[in-house]
Amino acid sequence: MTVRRSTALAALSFASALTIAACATPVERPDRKLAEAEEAVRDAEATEAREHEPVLLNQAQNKVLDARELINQEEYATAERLLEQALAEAQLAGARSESARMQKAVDELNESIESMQQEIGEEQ
Amino acid sequence: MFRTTIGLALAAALSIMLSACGTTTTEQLEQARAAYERAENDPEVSRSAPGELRQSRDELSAAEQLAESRESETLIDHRAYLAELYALTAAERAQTSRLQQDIEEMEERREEIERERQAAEAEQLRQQLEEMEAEETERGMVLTLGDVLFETGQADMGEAGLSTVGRLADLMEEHPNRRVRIEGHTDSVGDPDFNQRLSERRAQSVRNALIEEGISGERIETRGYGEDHPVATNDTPENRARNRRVEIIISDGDGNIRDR
Repeated sequence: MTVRRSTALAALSFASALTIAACATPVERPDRKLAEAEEAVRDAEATEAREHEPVLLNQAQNKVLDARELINQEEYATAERLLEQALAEAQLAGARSESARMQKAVDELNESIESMQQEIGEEQ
Repeated sequence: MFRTTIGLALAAALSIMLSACGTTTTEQLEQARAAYERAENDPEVSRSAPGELRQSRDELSAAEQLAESRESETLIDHRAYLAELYALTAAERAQTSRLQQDIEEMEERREEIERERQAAEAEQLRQQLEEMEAEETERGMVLTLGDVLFETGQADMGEAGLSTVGRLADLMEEHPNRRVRIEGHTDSVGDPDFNQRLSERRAQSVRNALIEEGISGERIETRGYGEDHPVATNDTPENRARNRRVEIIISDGDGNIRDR
């Protein structure tokens, strides 16, 4: 009985070691990712994302701020995830803002072509 | 008996592992799959955003692996969320590229319309000037005001001259991009200095009449050439009369007039 119990315990502790190995990997301080995320936010701002995608851009900025705090608390894994999300969110905000600007240009061109055609129609 | 106990213990441990690490699929993972699929099915995406599409695929397969090994929902959803964001970014870049192509086509269309419009305007003006007996020359359409339209030896215009200038003013109002150059000429009789001044004054007098009709002075240049550019020899009264004239050169559509 004693033998059996210790075998069972060994099996249990082996399994829990497996669990830890699977879920947690040691993480470095994500300084590079912080710089990348901050740059992505700046790039998005340069495409006027503040005007076209304020919510998504804010979200990305807040995640960068939260990540800074987490880094100070040495919560590197969580900070890293926030930074990866901030980067991708800022890029999406920038891409949406680009296509919104492009759409505006298309609309203006359409308008100008229509008015030109109208003008010609009136002359003839 | 011994073996069964170990087996039970292992099974218990395994079930602890499973409950510690979470479920196989999540709403976020499904959203990511759908977003990636939409992006992948858009041929413009692989042309204009291959990098973002690849990032999306990498994050999605990482998420799928985490789900298969029953990792925590936080980790699965994190990767899946990134996969979705990259797929959406890729789709947005594709849309931008399509709009860019639209813009290029529309700009071509606009230029084409503009060329048609200019051609129509030029043809209309040509017909209108033809009715006024203007002539087509290398320098453009030229309207000639004969000597009879001016008082003898004077710069002032009579009724007929003023009426012609009035018609020209109407045309200039109708064709706002056009400018005119008014050139005065005389025959070779008399003092060349007097002729030079007379040609200048006659050109000036036409300009004043146009301005009085409401045409901006910016659109009207004048030159006096005296007796330097006859259109006929000065040996008969008829020829001399032809040389005493004011020529009005109409600019091209951009307002340019070639010098004599």
